[in-house]
Amino acid sequence: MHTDTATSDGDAEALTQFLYMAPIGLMQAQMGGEIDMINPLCAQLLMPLAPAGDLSNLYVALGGLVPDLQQRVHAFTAAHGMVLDGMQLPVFGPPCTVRGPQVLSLSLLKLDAQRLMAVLADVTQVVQQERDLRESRTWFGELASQVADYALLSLDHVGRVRSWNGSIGRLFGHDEAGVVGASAQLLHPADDPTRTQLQQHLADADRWGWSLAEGWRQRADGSRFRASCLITPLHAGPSTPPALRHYSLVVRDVGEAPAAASAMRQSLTCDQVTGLANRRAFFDAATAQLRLLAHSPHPLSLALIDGDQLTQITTQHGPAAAHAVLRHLAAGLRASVRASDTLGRIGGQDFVVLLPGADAGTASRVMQRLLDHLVAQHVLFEGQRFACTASAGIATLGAGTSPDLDDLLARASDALRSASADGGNRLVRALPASGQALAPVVA
Amino acid sequence: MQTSLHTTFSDPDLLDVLPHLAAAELDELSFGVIGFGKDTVVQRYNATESRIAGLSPERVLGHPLFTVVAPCMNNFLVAQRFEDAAAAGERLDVTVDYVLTLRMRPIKVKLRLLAAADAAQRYVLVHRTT
Repeated sequence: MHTDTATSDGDAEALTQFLYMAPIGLMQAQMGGEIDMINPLCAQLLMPLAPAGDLSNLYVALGGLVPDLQQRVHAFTAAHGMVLDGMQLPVFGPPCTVRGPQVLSLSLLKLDAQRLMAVLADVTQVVQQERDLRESRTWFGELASQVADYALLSLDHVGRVRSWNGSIGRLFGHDEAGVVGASAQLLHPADDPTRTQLQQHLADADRWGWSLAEGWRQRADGSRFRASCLITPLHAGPSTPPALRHYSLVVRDVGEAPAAASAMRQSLTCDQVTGLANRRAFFDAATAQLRLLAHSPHPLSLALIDGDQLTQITTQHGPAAAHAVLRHLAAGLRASVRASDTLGRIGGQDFVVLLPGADAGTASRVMQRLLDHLVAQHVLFEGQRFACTASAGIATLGAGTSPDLDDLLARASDALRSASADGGNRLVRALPASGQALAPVVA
Repeated sequence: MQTSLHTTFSDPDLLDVLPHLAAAELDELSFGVIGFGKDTVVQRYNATESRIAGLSPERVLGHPLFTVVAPCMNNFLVAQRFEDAAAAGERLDVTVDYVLTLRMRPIKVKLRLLAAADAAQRYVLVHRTT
């Protein structure tokens, strides 16, 4: 007997403590509002609101927030059910409650003809998050409805378009039925070899934080345009399960600018002979890329390239011939580098390539492609054939190091000098620390 | 024994007297006594308070007062006052009207908040007014 009492006492105590510690406000009241039972958190939430801190009547305590609560209860004629379900109540309290909740959620359940049960919770944080989300959605909607030269797309984990907005219609001419659920590959011309690289781009975006590609894209009516396409992950990172990863794709039309503006832009940013970015344009582009890299640490390489025969050709055949060779070199570079690399002509006969995400091995492979390409072809100029080879110096920055353009250029320059001095048609990699050139890597 | 008979809720010297009372003497008092230290862990809990709240001492001793034992006191009226006094290195002695949800009933009480300047000895005293 004693044991039974002790056990039930123990149970009662455990229940009491359970209710004391419940992280949600619970209360039971009579139909007239008289509070029979109320747990500590409910009292916590109500006390600052109730006149004189009086918690004897529900309607009085909540009178400031829901003045017609009693009428609502009486208007609820069913024998049992939810009178209020998660009603959000903004709280405007006296200054001393400034650290208290700003929004409460009230649910009121009619238990029977005599009893009401109330659940009260502080939902301030949830409400704030919902507000922020609504604002972001509105902001994005505004953006998507205004931009004319860009299309903003959201892709799922395999590159299918998740939703439609006005920008897609304006740039590509696709309606919702035309793109939603389809792979972003459909935006490429059918004969475009980069069409199948979408998965690789998504993987690159996961790895480097972004993936940039330039190429042809196709509109719904079959017409093409040059586009710059940037993919960035929308999801939280490697911790997101693969099936839940989403990406943003921003497609920028780069080929349809009016002729005059285009010509102006070209003359300001491009080298007149080769059409590559000039020194200023290259430095601007490189600086912007380095800023991106500051946020996602991964290797970076820079290569300096010099035409081996340029001085000799200029002396023997004149500047026009040299220009032909320069254009040949530029074409070789364009054909060898990757979509994410930045090219420029920064000196009389010096070319530069910035290779983000490339370690020394990758950069060497790219440069070797160039060297092989040049060896395989000659330059034709006024009936004469010129052999044209190049030397390359490569400097690489390890992952996590702060990118310093000047340092990279200096080391690459040293390596280039070494390559040229050793007879040309070769690439040399600078050592990381001392800047001294390594043994040359020959085709 | 003599001490507790004359010791009342409003006794001005209470903060000096309480630390020297034995557990049995604390139990004789007509008001609830919860004693805790700087870390807010409950060190003393008398029989009166146990009866009022419906919790045996084992459930309370050794647990943090404001988060586990009496979450309804975790606000600017009670817990904050102790924190402010401790931060200022001041002695605390205030009495506030309060409503405690003892055994889930709203019970009007007076709470007396006592704390030594070094916050090593702190008390909440509970006096039922209804």
